[in-house]
Amino acid sequence: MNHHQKMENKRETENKTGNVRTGTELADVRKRILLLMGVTFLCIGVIAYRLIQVQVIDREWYQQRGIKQSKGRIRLLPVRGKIMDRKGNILAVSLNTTSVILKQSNSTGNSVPTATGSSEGESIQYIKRKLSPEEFEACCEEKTGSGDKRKPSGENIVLVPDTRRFYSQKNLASHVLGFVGWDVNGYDNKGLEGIEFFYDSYLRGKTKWRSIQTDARRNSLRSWELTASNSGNHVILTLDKNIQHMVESELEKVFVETNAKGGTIIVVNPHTGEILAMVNRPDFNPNSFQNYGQDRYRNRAVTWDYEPGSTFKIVQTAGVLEEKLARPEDIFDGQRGAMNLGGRIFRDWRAFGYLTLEDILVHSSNIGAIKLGRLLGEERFYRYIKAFGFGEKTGIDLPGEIAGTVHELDKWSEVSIGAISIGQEISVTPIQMTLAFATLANGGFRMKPFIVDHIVDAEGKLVFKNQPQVVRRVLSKETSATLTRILTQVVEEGTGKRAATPGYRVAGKTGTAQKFDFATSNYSNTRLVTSFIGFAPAENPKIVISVIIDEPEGESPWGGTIAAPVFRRIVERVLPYLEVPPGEERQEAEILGRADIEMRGHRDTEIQGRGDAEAAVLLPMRRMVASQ
Amino acid sequence: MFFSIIRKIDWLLVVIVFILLIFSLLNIYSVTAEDQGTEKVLRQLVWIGIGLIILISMTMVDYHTLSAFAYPFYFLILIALVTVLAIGPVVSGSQRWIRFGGFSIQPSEFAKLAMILVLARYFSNKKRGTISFIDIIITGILLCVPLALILKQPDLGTALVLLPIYVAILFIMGLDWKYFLIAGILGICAMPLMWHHLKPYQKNRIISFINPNADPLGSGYHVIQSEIAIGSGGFWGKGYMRGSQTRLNFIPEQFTDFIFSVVGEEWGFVGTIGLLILYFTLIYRGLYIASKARDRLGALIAIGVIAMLMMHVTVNIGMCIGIMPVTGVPLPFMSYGGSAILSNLAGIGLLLNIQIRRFMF
Repeated sequence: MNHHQKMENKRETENKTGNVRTGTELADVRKRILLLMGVTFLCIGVIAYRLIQVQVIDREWYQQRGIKQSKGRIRLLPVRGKIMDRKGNILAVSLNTTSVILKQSNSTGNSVPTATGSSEGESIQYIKRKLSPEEFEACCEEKTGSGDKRKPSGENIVLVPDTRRFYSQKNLASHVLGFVGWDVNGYDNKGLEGIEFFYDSYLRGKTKWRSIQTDARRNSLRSWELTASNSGNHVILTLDKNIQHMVESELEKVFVETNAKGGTIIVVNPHTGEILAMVNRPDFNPNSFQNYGQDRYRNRAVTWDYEPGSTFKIVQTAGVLEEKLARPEDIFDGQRGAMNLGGRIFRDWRAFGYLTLEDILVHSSNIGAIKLGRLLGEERFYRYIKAFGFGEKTGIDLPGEIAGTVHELDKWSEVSIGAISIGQEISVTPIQMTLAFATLANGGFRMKPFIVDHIVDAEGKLVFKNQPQVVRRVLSKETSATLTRILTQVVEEGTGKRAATPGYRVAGKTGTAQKFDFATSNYSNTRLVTSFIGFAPAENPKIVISVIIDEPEGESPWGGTIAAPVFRRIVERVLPYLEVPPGEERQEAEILGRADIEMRGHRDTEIQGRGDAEAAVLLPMRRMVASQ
Repeated sequence: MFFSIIRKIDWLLVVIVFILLIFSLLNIYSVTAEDQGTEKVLRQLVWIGIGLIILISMTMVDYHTLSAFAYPFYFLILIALVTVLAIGPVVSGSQRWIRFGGFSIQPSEFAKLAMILVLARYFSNKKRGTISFIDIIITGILLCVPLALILKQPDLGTALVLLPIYVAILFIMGLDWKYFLIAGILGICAMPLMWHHLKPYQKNRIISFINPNADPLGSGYHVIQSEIAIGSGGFWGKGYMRGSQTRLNFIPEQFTDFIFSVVGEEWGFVGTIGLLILYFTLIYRGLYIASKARDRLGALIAIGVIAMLMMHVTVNIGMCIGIMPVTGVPLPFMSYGGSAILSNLAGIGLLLNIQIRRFMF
């Protein structure tokens, strides 16, 4: 007999009534407790059976379902690549910012989320784009009351990462850079002008989707950390921010002073075709491009054409020299400033008598230029015009470039050769004109200009590289040297004296073109395009600069008076910046050669002694070439 | 006295409860760590601390003494339940809590305890097999007053837990089988009648229980998500703190009523079966204590406590795995929530009390 039973017996005998239980009662109670045990076992058994079903037998089905419902595709926030100058200074950058959106789900939870919260089957609506930091703080506090930046959102109002295109240099190189608008997804990621447009596919980066886990609200848990993973490529320009800035300030000055309609300055490396600076006026601030008129977006350097006037005279001169039809010292009859060609009277700005070929350029004689053109002949003249690249696009990597107008040879009238010789009946773009002068500066090669040096991806790996490209050889080394020498004379004693730069020898040509007035069918005397295009240092050119001012106002709005001084100031600032040491007289002598100096000295005294047209007649006649 | 208690205490029961509590804290942390850090875990720890004090006092004071306070406690709870309906804040459509400073008390949780004590007290003076119709009427009223007050909140789940306590005690009291049969038939007949008195969301829960996919994003949502979580846990589970369904907030407030789905996902079949074994052992120990109780009072209290725990476990897990409709019933010792922890630990205290005093005369 065990202890328990003893106890029970004791209990039974102790009290027959009330709380204490009897033996038979206990037996029945135990029976019923056993039954409860059975019920419990049954319940637990059913649960266990169900768990085997769910967790062992059908687990894969549930796992698939779990993966499916938490799987989403996320479109990575596209961060547009930077645009930098050749030294790595940032000109355009996309900044991280935050926008507020209102999400409206119109599907049954199978929508696809993105980093921005927009997704298939969901319509989003921007409440406020690109919050300022202050707005962002205010937003976070308002939504959560705790400033918790991870979850600043309510049910449907969500803060999402966004980007804002920012041009740190404001107006600087605005025409080159262009600007961006919204892409299909509403980001600042669609190039509309300039480099932003031309290299859009590189800058934008590819649209990337990433598979992610999403939570029950179809938001990625990590969306806030996924912001920068889709960076576009960075574009490095050939532009130099500092040169660009110098040129901008100089053009701005003359643009304001002369109250001009427009203006363009291009600085190019003649040996490679790299654009070092490209400035236009009027300009705009790409950060707020919407506030400017469309005409201000225009990159006149490549999209505007004009009749070049006297700067074009280098073309037939180069042709005559290259074809050895005349030498610089050969004399032409200036006809005292008037010439009838096919019924049109061409006039000079001064009544020149006899001039050497060199003097034709130095003093910018129209009659002399026409004679050179006729000496070359229509066919060859046309060939040289095309060889210099006029009438065709230069192929520069900027949008909207135009070819200008060069009439086909069979459309030339009797007057044409005369008009074209003095830069009329033909239209050119500033970039074409600049590259034509670069041809003289680099020994006769027509280069293809370019403004993007290279493109790297987000990790810095090279994606694209622009190489200098020779389009064709136009002139021999000798011809370009001779022409260069003549163009230095233009600066030293001709129409371009105001371009003369202390310490440097520069070469260049003035141009003052009357605009054709369609109202009167004649050339206007007040609406001019004045220009000076040249290069420096003459002996070893580092830069070609073209200064073209459209419709300046003033008493003497000519190339020599308005554009040449701008050229000089740019040379003065840019050459020291490029660490080109100022040249000395000795160097000049070596390059030019003794005979030239003699000749120059001789003529100098003559012209300075007598002056004007009379002097030209007295110049030593070495060889008569041109009749008429 | 103290040492004899230490010697006689049912250590298996104590160990099981402690394992459950620690497991609970681990899982609550797993769900809440990311968003709230240790806040929820610490709060639960405070409740467990208070609960353990109650457990110890419930163990130390003889249950005969405790049952002397059954009626005052019962009326105190009724007052609390009325107070809830009067001044309790409305939280997602129902009034269940009374606020005390930073803490909330859910009187309906303690109503179950009061019910156990009152019924045990009432029937302890009745001889087995001599229960009259009057007795059933009187205890029926004792049952129905708090039941009605809790249904009014409304809290169907807690209200329904009162019924098995009543049924189990009557069953142990040797009530004739025919009464249970009649009650069962009446219950089934009353169902259509009750249908009309259910709130729309309660109806939806029952509809979605029958067909969860009828409204997968609505009332069926919880069950589907819970099943996916548990099922995707597979045999071995995804690992602690690695449950993706849990991490991704597919189940709102998962650390309360749906904590079983966390166990299922992160600990797998191994975890859920382990948990079931723990609960089964707990209930087995409780029934053992009931069968070995010194007197009828002890046996009835033990049966009441076990019926309460048993009902909670079955209804909660059944809900999580889709074989029971969704009712807001917490999983004992596992779900986050102060009142439930307090009343469950008090219940364990009573069991230990009865167990210790088996041989004490």
